[in-house]
Amino acid sequence: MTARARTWLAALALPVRVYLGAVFVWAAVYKIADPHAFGLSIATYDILPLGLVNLLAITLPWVEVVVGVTLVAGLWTRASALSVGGMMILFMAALGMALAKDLQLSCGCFASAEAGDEIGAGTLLRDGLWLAGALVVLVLDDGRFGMDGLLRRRRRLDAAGGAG
Amino acid sequence: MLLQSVLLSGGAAALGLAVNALRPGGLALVAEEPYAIYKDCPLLTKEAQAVAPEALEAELEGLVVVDARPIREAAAGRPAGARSVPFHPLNPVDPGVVVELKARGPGRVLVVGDTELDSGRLLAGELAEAGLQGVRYLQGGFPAWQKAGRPVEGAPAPEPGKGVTP
Repeated sequence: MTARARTWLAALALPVRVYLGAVFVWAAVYKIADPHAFGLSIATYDILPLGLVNLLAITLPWVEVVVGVTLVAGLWTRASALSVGGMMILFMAALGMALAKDLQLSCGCFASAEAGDEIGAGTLLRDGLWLAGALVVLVLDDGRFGMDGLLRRRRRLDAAGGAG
Repeated sequence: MLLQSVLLSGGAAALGLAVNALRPGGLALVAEEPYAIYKDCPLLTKEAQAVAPEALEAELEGLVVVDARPIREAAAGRPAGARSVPFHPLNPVDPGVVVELKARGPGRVLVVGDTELDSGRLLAGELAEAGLQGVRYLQGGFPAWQKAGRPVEGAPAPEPGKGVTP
């Protein structure tokens, strides 16, 4: 693939990357603000043993926020997309298990915990789309329109300066 | 890339643990007692107004008739044009249905249930509790509706979540 084609593909993936990053940061805000409410959401899925619920409630939102910021900034872009993809697979597995058990619960994804936010096939489809978005970024975007691109250019300039 | 991904996630998790340790009211690493994941069943404190079959207005135009019986029973025969909203003692009525019914205005909803489970009175009470004004229920439920010679239809009832039928 030519360098120009890679640039075009990265440009196509750029809005997906920024959108996904923003979604993850946004999703983490309420979880960080109210870890107990997020712990309750996790417990309601009835998957994890009680001993692990708080640990996940404390750490997961920060993984989301850090990965969201690095995605938007285009820093360690592919690693961030990989993390997002991994999280989406875990979220979808949890949703699928809850749906299979016919649990009536809010997905715990965003701040609204009202009945309108109840999990269903639509939630699974939405997460599937975000997983697809993470794969698009993973495959097409090497962060050339972000910090990764800037750092690579700087290293090349440094190397050229050192050689000269 | 995999190593970077692990570093990102691990670093972020460590950051989360550090922030939690420093913030006032942070969570205990291991929950000391189970989360209260079950909600209490809705307690009915409001009673809807009962209406006797003979007191029911002759012309029901503009009135929303709600069938509180299970879908299977409603499918076998129900008040003509009724909206099926089966009463369930554990599951609250879909808030979307409440919003739709509220939009019809006060006093425009008549609930018809069954005599055995008293579902008409219970659903009407639940709707009143949810803020529906002037909701009434038919005394004697669907058998009384039939006995009064009110129109009945036997086609499958509309699925919950569909539009309100007048």
